[in-house]
Amino acid sequence: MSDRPETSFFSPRRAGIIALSTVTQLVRMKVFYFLAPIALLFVGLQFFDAFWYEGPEASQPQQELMMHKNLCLGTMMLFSSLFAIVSTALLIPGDIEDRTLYTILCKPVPRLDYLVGKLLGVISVIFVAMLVMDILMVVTLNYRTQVVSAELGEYLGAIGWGEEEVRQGQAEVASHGPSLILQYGVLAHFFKASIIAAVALLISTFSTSTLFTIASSVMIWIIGAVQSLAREGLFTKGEYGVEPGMVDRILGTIISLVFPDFQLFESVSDGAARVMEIGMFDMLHLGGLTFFYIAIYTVLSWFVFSDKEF
Amino acid sequence: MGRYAGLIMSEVPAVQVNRLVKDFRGPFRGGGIRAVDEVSLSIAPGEVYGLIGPNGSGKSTTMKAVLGLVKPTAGSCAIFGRDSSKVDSRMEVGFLPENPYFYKHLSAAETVSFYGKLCGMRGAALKARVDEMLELVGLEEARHRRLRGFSKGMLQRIGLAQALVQDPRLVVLDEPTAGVDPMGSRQIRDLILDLKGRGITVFLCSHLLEQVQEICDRVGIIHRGKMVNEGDLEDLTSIHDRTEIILQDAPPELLEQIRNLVDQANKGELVSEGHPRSSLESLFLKETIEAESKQKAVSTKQS
Amino acid sequence: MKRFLKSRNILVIAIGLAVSGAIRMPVEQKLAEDYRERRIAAPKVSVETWNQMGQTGLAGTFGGLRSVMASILSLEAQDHFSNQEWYELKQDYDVITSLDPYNSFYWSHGGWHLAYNAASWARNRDDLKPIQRDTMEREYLEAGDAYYREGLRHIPDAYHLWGELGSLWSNRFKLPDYERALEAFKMAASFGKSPIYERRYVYLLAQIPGREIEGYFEARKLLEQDPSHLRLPSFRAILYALWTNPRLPLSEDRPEILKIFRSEEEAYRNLYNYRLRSEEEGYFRGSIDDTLRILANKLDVPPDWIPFLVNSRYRIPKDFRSKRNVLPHSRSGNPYFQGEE
Repeated sequence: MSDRPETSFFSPRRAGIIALSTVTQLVRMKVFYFLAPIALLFVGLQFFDAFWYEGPEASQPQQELMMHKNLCLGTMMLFSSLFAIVSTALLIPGDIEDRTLYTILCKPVPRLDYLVGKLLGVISVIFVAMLVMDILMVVTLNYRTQVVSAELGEYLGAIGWGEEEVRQGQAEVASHGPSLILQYGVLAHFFKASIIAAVALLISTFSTSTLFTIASSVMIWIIGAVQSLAREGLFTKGEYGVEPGMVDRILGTIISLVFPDFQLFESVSDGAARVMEIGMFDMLHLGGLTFFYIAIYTVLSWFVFSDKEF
Repeated sequence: MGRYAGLIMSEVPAVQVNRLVKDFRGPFRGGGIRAVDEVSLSIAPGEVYGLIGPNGSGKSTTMKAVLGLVKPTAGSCAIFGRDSSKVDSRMEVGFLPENPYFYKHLSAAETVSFYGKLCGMRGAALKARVDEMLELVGLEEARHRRLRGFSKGMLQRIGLAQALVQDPRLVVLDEPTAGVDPMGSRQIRDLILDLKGRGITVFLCSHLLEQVQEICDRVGIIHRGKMVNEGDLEDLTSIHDRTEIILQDAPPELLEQIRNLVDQANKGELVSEGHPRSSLESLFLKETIEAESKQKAVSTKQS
Repeated sequence: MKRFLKSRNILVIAIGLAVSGAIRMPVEQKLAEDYRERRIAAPKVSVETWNQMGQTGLAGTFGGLRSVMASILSLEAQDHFSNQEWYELKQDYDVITSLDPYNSFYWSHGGWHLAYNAASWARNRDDLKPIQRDTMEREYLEAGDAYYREGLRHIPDAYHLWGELGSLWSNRFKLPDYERALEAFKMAASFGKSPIYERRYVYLLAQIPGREIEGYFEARKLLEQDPSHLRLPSFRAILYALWTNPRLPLSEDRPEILKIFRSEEEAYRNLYNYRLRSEEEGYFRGSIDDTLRILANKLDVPPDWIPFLVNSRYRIPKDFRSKRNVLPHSRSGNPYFQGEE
């Protein structure tokens, strides 16, 4: 019998090696080049005046900053979700087609390590990409806030507001600029993208077609945006106090049980853009929910993948 | 029992396959394929074993079952006594698949290092091992080149390097010389013999029979999922009722004497005589290597 | 597709998702309700609004891009405004405010379109009888009012919506409702974020016959809280005018010019302009005519520069405003109107 030590059930180190290889793979596929047009978009927002914004004398200056934030956050959400789906969908089928997977699984690599490593790799790349976009957003938003604040100060001074009142007005505008709460909005999108990646991973373990994986993941992404409607129907009375029927209940139950609720993450992001009171505990709750989703999908993926033959 | 009759019977076989059955379910109920049908084989440590058969005979499936890539429908497979479905068993195994592909975004050194890390190697030991493997397979100069730019032969060699990185006791090769030029085939053959010399067990599948004949100690012949014959190569290929004598620079008179002796003997028959043939491969290598040597001599003289 | 999915795998996945779903559903529901209560999450979309949502709205809801889609839909709404399609415009804003209900901008714009643009359009409809015009105008005004109030229901601290309500109902060119306007300005001022609404409350009291004394005391209160209100000419003039009200309690001081204005010239300038505005906007005049006469004498202002003081029954001609800029007492030629104002 061999005198080599037994391979553990799960090795974070081995998963980390596969994750690093995945990151290298994605980076060398030049996925970060997309950041260039996004940087252009964010910088271009500086020069975009919403047609209805007639300046501080006619409109709320905060509105312009809200528009900037919403566009940036929306772009980050779109990119991170689509990237999570496409890159995860390509990884495992790609490894199977190339037979790279054979050589990996013929080493003492438990299948769980492989799955976790792939998932961590994708999530790491999403994290870095979102960090870069976040920095771009903060820089451009900060600049825009200063411009808007200066315009407002000039206008309020011209209509006779006192220094203190002008300062207050400017402070209110500044509160709609970059802030910790805005970062929570970015974090919410990151959490959502991580869950979507885990969903795509699960589908890719039993799908042999990349197109099917991508299409299914996109469908789940869309359904996840409105899953809360189905769940609401189970917990609350319908409009006009009418209880949902049996068929509605069954459908609602299935949708609520099977599909993730992405609306929660969207709500936090929207609220962050509106500078609502969102705290660390809210993010901890959301993070806990994210971890729960990822853990479940990873375990189910492992269950399917462990039986897979090549 | 062949040359391994002296084997200590208690030594654990490198590979033990017992009545392996593998069925693949078809697209419709009731339709299915039995790819492997009650195949048993045993490979002793340090042996070079060749599993040969035509395309679709079940060679690769048997190999994959040994490597744990497919689950047996019935029967068992073990590597050095460990169930091959367990991850632990793969610490002892290096595998080179047919037409290997690796992550194209990695360089040669990164590839070998990656697989070494997966086997738990790290630090200076890993680095030294990577250098050793690249030297062994002759890819030192290409260590920083990405695999995207590698030829088939180079990919094959990288495959060998990653298969050997963790110093396995068993190396499994699936069609190691398929699509490789004669010079490359010769190098791989020499490498296999080198592995054997180090006591590493080699299990290879191939349908290139001449090459199998050159390097294997034992072979198994598989056809339509069944093992139809198995044993020592010498035993299997010898024609026991014939004797071969090869003479160097024999004069015609000596040849005439030998013919007369056979005629005079009551037993035996001269079946044929003539000049033995070299193989086309040997001729090819001889011509190419000689031409290279001559060219080197001329350029040395000129400089 | 290869059938890797054996029935056992399907069953395990289904059970796994069901069990995990059953664990997380109550947690998610609680989080969702908490977010809705704290206005982090948007309220539920009504059935009517779902029906009104076109593809863009639905795409926004499904894709998680509600705010961005609201912005895009507001572009479409602009088209309806340009074409004076008020019903379609209102429908668009119903969808927009459902997609982004916590953005006060959309409530403000929706209310503005209805209460100002649509109401003006209704008032100018020559094809209708006067009573029909009035009714339609009032309907649009009420619709605009409803929009502002619905916005305030969603965003209680959007004080500027109160301000806009106050502006709407104090607008003399529409159908003013001073009680509603006062209530709105008072609410806007109660947030303490914008002094302009505190002043507008006072200004409005100065426009309502019978509320001048109340206006005076409110103005004094403002002044005590923040003397910097006096830097504004309008405030100075209104305060002085209210102070000259002969019906003020006897305990109040007599009005003194230099307690409010920095100089007699400034007093003359501010009160002169206020006098002009009071004709159009109905501000309380008090005894500022007497003050203006006194100041005119003191400062040697030529009589033809003060037409409405030469004869106390002098009527400002209808075209007075158009001639104002060419008469000697126009601002551009009058040394008393140089500088501030």
